[in-house]
Amino acid sequence: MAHPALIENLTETLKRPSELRHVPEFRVATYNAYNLFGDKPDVHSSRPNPPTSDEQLAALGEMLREIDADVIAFAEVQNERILARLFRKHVNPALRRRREDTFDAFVCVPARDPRGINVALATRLAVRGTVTFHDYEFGSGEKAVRFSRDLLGVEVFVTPTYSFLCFAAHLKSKIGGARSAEKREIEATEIRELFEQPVFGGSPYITHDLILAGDMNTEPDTRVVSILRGDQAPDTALVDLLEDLEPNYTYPTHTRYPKARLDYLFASPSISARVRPDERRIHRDDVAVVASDHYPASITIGVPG
Amino acid sequence: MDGRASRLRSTALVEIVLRGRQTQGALALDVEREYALHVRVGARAGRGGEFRSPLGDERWREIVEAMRQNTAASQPSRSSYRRVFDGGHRLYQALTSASPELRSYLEDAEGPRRLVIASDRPEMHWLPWEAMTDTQQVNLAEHDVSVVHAAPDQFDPIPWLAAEHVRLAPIFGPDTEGATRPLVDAMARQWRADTARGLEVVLPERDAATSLRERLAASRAEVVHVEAHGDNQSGTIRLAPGLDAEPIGLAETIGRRAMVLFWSCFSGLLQPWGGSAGATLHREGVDLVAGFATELRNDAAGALAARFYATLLDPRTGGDPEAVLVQERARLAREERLGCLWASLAVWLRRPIDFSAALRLGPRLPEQAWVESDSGATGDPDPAVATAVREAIEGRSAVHVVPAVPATLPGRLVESYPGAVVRLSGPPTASARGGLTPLLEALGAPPPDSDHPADAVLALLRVMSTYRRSLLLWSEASPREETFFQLYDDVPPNVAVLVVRRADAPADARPRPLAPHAGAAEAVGAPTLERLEALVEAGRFEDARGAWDALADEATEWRRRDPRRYRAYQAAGFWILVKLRRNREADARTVAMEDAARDLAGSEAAADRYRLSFEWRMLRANLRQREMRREEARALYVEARAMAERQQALCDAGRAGAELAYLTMELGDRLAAEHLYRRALHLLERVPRGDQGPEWRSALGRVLRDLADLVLSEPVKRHEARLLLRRSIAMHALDGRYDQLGAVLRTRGRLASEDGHPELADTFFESSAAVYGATGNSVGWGATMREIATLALARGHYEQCESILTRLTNLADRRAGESNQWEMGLTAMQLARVYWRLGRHVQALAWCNRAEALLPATMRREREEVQNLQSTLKELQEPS
Repeated sequence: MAHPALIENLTETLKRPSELRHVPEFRVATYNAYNLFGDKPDVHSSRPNPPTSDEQLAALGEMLREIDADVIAFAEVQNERILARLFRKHVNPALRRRREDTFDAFVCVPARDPRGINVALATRLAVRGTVTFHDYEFGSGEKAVRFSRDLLGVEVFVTPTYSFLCFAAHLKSKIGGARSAEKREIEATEIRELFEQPVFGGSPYITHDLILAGDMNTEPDTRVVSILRGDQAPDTALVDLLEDLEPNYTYPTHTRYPKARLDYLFASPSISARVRPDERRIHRDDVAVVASDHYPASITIGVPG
Repeated sequence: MDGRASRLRSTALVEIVLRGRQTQGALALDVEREYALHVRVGARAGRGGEFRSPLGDERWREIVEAMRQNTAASQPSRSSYRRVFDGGHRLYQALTSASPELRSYLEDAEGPRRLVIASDRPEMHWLPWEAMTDTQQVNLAEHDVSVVHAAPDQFDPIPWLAAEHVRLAPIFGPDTEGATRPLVDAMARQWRADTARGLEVVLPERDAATSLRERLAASRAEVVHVEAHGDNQSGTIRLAPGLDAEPIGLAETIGRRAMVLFWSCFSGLLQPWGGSAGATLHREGVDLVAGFATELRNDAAGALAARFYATLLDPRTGGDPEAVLVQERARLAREERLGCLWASLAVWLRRPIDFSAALRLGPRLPEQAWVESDSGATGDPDPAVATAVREAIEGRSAVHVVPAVPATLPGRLVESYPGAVVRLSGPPTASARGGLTPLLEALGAPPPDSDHPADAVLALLRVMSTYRRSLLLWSEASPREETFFQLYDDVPPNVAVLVVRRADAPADARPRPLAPHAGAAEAVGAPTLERLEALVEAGRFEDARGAWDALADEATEWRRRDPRRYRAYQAAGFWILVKLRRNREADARTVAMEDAARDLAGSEAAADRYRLSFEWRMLRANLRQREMRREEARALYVEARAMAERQQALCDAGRAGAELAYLTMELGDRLAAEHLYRRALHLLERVPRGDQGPEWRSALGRVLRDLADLVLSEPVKRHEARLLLRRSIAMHALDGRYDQLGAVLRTRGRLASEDGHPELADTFFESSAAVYGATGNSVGWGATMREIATLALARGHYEQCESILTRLTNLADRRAGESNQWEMGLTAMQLARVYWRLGRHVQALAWCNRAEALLPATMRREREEVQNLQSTLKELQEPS
């Protein structure tokens, strides 16, 4: 039986776009935070994990301060509450001491993952609105398919006049072999569809400044990534912004499995030319090992004149 | 370019005046307070308007705090940087909104510009003008806009001209790390090595009896260099133990100087009462004061000062301290943007400074060609040489004939050239890159486009143009160098070229007007294969014919014993006969080579067999192409290219590819032709040194010209066409391939025509026709004449067009049997168009009919054009 769609008002304080500064650039990151769970039960998490340890929270905070991003797309977050707590306790105080802007907007729309993990977004810029596809069924087979952990879209204002779309995704895990791979392909195909077709009227998302961030659970040379990039349609192809970074892996931070690149930052054609090539990074600081089993990645994007 | 860069910077002066009341001291910044804005761009007064600070006191403090935080930090914060950026952006918007003239000046004008913020209001100088970024998010310095402060009515755009000898007095305050001391010491050492010009470091050692003020006064220094601690709270700068100078005391100590440079913290910071070291020295008469509004880290101070002096004294880029500061601000904004020093660096300017006279002289190369003085060893150069040097003009080349030029020349002869002075002797074509590699390396030039010596010469001109005023003196020049500079239209505007030829220099095989057996004595004198090839290369085909005949017996011997010479002999014969329109005899040369290749047996002869087989295919394909048997030509070129690729012979593959490209272009497939040309060029530019023979040189020059000819009609590629053509001119001229220069000049004419300069185009076409006339290449001459006719037709000069084409037709009729039918067909087609335009339809139809009969079926495009016109004309003649 399908759960009813429950959406909380999860953004506590929204900056107004007109209050933003004129900035020349902004930074976007993707981070799989590895089971970021709070200590309170949650209606959306049927089998919640134990709460994240203080040690991991502190390490995540250190990583987030190091990343120095304005918008961060997360994977594996239980809910907005734990995300906000992470920032308020482990990130914002340090930013305040440095007289920097603090994170005050957190977006997380719980979806249907049995582990209770979701995609989420945190920003110190201004959020205008969000779009969620967690109730959307698709696929051509007998059994309807839904996104494993939603495709979450947020329009983020960077300056009083410039905004971009940031989508966070976390595709089906690698566990499950061929069936999982097939599911990821279906999810990837649907993401492309949603980007290429007008969803709420207006022009397709792909024609806007758009970043797709997240843990796609697959490596760059796979069909899933080819589908996500849109290799068949060069005019609307997404650019894998981490493609040429060396060494090119984001998982795992430990040594038990072979190294792989599972995390991505894709850019739409209109925004990709403004990405600063020498300011792309996969953050492999020592503390990353304590923070998560994934390394975060970040990019800097110029604001158009 | 006169080498005085500071004079070239245009100025917009913005005067900001507080309305209503007279107040001493600074007011807190307030977004509501109105100021009058007076703008003057150059000599023209703008409309003026009203200005309100976009930053209130609180936001301004935030920005200053952010700037201080980042300039002091080893890892500056992004948020602080953004605060500074935001402040600069808001300030730019506020200023340009208040003055449309200023907006236009900052956004539409180009080149070096200066924005003077002149105000007697201290709070206006607090604003982060240096941080201004335009609507494209770019700091103004990156557009070469110098933002400077001035007191009202103090700025004068006429520069202060430094003498050759400038004194610099350094002051190192107590307890500093001396970050700039090694640099100053190095400058001091450098001065002792060169007593004539530059910066002399002067300041007598400290003693108890004399104060710093007295010592500075005695030094007569024009420049004062200060590294000392500044205090944020008191606004003092600690110049010496016990001497914490407030701004006015600082001004008294330092006195009036041309330039004062503070490599110190807070030297540019305005205090609440309105004073600062920079502002006070400015008011007290220092022409240029540079300092920092925030803390300056020692490492940054050392690096900035080192870059500043190195650039200021560089013979290429130096001379203008304001330009150097703008350049440095732009670099900081681009490369170290988070550090915010680009916003902290403040300049107060009364008038620009011109240090050109004090610059180090550029290199004199090669070193052994120049001596310090005209000692007995060198003797006085010929007065004619001295006069020529004196009269040389930048941006031009001049040829002088003199009795002799000594091997070494005195340096003083060229001291009026502060840039690079290079002397070349003799032809550059003797080796790869013409032996210019050491010179290019000494000048720091990027590698030439290819190993061809002509590319090295062009690279030399390019790198010399990076100096302020340079001279290229080419002595012992041959007519090839003369020809090159006569045709080359891109001598850099700051490089003078002097080509000096000895009066008794031997004559080159230059083309002369075609006359039967002209110059026969010279050609027949001692015929050798080398002489024969030289005559062919020079386009002297009639002379070459005699030499070729004379070598017939030797050729029989070469066929048995020396396949290389035999191939060269037959190839020379082919070109002679083709150019003299003896196609059937030319074809026989390819057959002879084919037979010779077949007779070569055994693996030891494989290389010669390949060479002969490749060449006869190339030559026969060329002939088939001339005869409009394009499919046969194509098949032969494809075979030749495949052979070359199998042999991994890059040069041959490039040559065959280039011919295929030409053929493809004739067939009308321009896109494919361009692709083939580019590929051929790519191959030819990568041919290894050992394979760079005359064929390679010729092919490279031809591909460059052909590709230029193909792409010049596309506006976006016209610039590229110009560059390709320049290389081609250089290669053909310096190699002495005068016949090819005819084609290059024709393309140059087409380029001028596309550029909308028909008169210039006419001139180039006439030169092309003259060259072809001289070499006897009647095919080339005919093509150029048709080009002249086409231009005349486009310009409506029907009489000229008709006259040219009629003459061409008559000539072809007289040479029946020699002329190609397709050429006659093309001429007839053009005549039909002329008569069509003139409304003489009967004649137009007659020429159409003739063109249709003459044009071969393979010239489909041309035939279709003729048939269209023909059918229109026929319809017009139908009775209604």
